[in-house]
Amino acid sequence: MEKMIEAVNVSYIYQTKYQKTKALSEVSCSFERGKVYAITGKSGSGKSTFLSLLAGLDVPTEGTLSIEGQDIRKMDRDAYRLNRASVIYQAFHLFPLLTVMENVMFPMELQHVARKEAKVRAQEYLRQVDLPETLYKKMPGMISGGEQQRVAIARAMAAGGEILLADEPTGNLDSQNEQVIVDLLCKLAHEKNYAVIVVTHNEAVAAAADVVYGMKDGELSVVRE
Amino acid sequence: MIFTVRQIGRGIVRHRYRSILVGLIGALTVLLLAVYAGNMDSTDRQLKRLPEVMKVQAKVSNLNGSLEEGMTIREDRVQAIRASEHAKDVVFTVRLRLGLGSFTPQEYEGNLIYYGAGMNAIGGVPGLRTEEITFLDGVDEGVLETAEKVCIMDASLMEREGLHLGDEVMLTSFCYRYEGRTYEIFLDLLGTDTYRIIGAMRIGEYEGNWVPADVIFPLDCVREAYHRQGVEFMADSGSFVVKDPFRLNECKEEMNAIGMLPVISRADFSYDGNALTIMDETFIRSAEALEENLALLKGMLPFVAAIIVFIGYLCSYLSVQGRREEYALLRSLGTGRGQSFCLFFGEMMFVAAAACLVGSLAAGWLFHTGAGVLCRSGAAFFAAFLAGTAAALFSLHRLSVMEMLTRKD
Repeated sequence: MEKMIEAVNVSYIYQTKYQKTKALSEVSCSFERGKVYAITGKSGSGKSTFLSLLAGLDVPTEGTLSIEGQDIRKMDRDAYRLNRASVIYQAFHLFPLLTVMENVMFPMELQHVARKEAKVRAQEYLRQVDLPETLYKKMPGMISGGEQQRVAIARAMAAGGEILLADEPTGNLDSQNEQVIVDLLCKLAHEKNYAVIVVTHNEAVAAAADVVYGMKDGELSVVRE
Repeated sequence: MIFTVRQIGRGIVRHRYRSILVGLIGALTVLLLAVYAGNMDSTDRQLKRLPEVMKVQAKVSNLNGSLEEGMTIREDRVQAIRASEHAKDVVFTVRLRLGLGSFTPQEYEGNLIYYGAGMNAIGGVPGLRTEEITFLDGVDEGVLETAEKVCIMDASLMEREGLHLGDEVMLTSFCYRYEGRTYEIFLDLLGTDTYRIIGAMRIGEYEGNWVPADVIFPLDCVREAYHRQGVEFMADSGSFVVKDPFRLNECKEEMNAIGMLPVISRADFSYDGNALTIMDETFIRSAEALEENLALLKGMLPFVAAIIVFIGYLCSYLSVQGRREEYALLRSLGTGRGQSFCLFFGEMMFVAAAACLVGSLAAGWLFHTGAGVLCRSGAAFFAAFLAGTAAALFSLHRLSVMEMLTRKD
């Protein structure tokens, strides 16, 4: 299968006035469409830094990270996040003052999709993540954690990209909701052909992944392929 | 662009409680600043208008200050004061005795029955107002500044003598001579001349100590009569208003140079009008009080400015910093730095503008603060507020988006 994302000898160094910290050390790997990837590792091992690079929020200090053959350094990374890659977080990070529906519509509005059209599409995405229609007009603070994470996934789908990056997506959920989210992520990869990359501590999430990488002290290794 | 504007509007509505709170703090700050600046402006204006409101009058007197009229003021001093750049509304008078027709000094009995005065402004007759004079068509009180052979005559005298406006009348006049050593007063002949009656006066309430004049002549016309007769001209009283009381010391120096001394109450009595009484005490007291106030207010300016800048800056800075997660989320969703900056900055700009407007309106309504002051106060707060917003946003730009969103605290 065609490589969607490819990292070759990617290193990342945090540099302050007084010290340098190597957060990633010569990481090489690739990600394909239609698969779920899990990156496991302890806190501070460099998982989130790697996810940040994959999301185009930063660029590698050394090495090459390319998206479908294009170097991320030379890309319009804002447009990349807007149209191709979405991130979901452990703390959900929905806009607290927007309704569930408005949160899902937001990326489409950023893409200048007409409001009416955005609304129709948002309803469709919310249906796909099995969110009851009664919650559409509620504020995020009024719904459960599992429901909020489903809204975050619907919002990621609304952006219309093909890469879904997730940082501990089940970290704040109970086991029942955890399974729902894992199933959803797998469905996106296997049915919608997304490349889903999940950073997690959770073994159940890792078990559901097609490929598992381990991260230790900034170095990436294959755990299961 | 439309999206940005719409999002700014939505942001304000969504964060309405925060916006209202920040706006109220801003409005209150602008109100306080406007009150402070208005106070300073009003004190400054009062100080500038003080010379108009509180005129500093100077009166010529004798050296011990006991005489303000019936003196001998030397012609050179009269002319120097009239020409001084520090004096305005200068009025000098000279007193005369008169009789109708032509007669010799020996024939004074029964003839020398009227009082006359030469002056360069109506203000020389205490209590006489311009409305109490009926002038010949095309003539006004400015004629007293000339040397024309004209006169303004008491209306009842004109009626008694069958005279009318525009008539010519022959008058024989005598001037006063004060003998300093013996304190005697003499009358010297000035001559007989014909004068055109250009005004009739009907004085209501005379306020002077001397007998009111029956006939008034232009001062310079009288001066010329003195010169023709070979008599040294002496004015009888004089006063003026200090043109710029803020240059009072310069005025006093010039008057000293002219020979006008300050009043010395212990000095001997004399008829010589060589001293000046300047009524400057009230003006100086008021000016000093206003200047002290202004200095105090200006002294506070750095502190007030610092407080305003601090409030404006801090308020906006904290407000934006409180929304760092929202900023990071926007960036994570693909909003560029420029657009994110515009969204937040536009929203804060609107809040600041509303705060300035409300604060200015309140200050204008409550304290009648002037538009200029309101604009300056509003602009100062607006600038500080936006500087705080920009600083907060630039500091957000430097932070890692992922770090902001993955922070668990």
